[in-house]
Amino acid sequence: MRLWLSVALGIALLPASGIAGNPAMVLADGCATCHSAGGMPSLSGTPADQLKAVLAEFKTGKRVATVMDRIARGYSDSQIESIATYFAAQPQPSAAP
Amino acid sequence: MTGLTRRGFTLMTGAAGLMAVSGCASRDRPEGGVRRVVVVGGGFGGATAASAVRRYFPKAEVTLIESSATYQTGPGSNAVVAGLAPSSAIERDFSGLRARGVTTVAGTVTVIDLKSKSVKTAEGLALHYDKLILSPGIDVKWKTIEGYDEAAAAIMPHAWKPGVQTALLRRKLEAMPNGGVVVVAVPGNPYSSPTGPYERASLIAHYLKRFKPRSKLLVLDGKDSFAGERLFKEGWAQLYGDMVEWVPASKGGRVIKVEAQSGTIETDHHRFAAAVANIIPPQTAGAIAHKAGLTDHTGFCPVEAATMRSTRSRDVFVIGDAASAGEMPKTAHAASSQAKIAAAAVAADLGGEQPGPFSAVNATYALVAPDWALSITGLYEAGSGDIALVKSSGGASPVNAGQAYRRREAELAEGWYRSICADSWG
Repeated sequence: MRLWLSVALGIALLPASGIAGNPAMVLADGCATCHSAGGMPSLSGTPADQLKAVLAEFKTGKRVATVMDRIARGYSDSQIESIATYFAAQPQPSAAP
Repeated sequence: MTGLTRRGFTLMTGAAGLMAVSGCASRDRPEGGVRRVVVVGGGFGGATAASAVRRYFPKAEVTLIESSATYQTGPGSNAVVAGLAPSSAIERDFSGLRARGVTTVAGTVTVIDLKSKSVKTAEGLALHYDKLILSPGIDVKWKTIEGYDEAAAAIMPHAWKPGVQTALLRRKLEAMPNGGVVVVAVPGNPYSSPTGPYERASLIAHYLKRFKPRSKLLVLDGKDSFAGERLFKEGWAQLYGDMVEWVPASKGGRVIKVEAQSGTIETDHHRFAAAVANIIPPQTAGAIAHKAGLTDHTGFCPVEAATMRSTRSRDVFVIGDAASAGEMPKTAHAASSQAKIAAAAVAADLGGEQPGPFSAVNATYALVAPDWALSITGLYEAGSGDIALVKSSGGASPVNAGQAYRRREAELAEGWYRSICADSWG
């Protein structure tokens, strides 16, 4: 819920052209299935370079994972760029109550 | 409203107070040219779709129609069957959706009129839609196994729709004697939750081992291989010894007939007498999808791969178990991912734009024991053809990975469940 609220703020950032002008948002929303409250950490506010580096390490297998390596291997470099840029622009979720 | 109340109709208006619903067909559109998106079904697909449309096209009025006031999830239901969790642990309500500005309606959709773009419920509500997202899940195909009808399911539960059937199977397991045979019958592909029947067999074995250790669990399968097979077999051998036996179709595993009263199950080659029989029968898209003319010869709904748009109607999108989604399995995560794709396409339609590219994740966890889990994942894309696995992605947990790895994935499975529920229902 917290993540959803924080990303919901992103609606305001949505370009006037609407969702089709922001495919990165839909791509990044795919991450929210696991990266929501009670699950994996929120990605919002993560610096783009940091997220790109981590995803690259998952992709090459340098960073050990259970499922994220298997998912990251499917993303193209440009998709990773889009995802990282999107999350970097999102406000960090407020601290857990 | 009065008319609706008279019919005993339950209407829960969204927190945003977006609409005045009327049962009167002449007033079934929102005021002031507001576009309405109707979502049918309150499961992972429907709940996520309703939320995502609100997010992607906030000007739209979104109404979600679900027949029950709460929804019990498939994931987690095997733990309820095995007595590891109460049914309340898998029950979700729609208050979080209302907080997101979704109007939720308790009703059963009985008519979808593709020409007039309207839906009607058994309770008398009529709603015009600009876009419809249909996420009705599966229905059981009765009598494809001889003798297996609704009356038989009251004795030999399928428990493939969480709720009454789940509780019934639990009671049967509690009542059976130590030393009895439990049969889990599994259909051929496709069906909802490819790993679900094997997780169920595993968790039932976990219960039997603790409380009725002389019992036997037979998995009678309508196919010769299944998702996560090597991992399940590894776990069964480690944890349950010879208690669990899997009989593939080629060895006489395909169930063709049942006699519920006597507890008899017949396959091509054998007859079995079961103390408890869990018959998971062949499945098809939810009845409303058939009635609306959205299904094809497969019994599921053909869709345009890139958008989940029905090939039968431009303004209808079908997601989740009811859709034919190429290589994507029928799982909660797939339904949730497809919901976001469909919602983005709906938003693009309403905004007069072209939808973006299709990219969808699936992650499935299955428990072999409460502290022993496996996962199967994949990233899916749709080019010009059907939805397909991105070849470089996906796969299952490694075999023989050791107990620490299995325990870690069991913890991750719990986190996944909390997270996908928060993402879907709030």
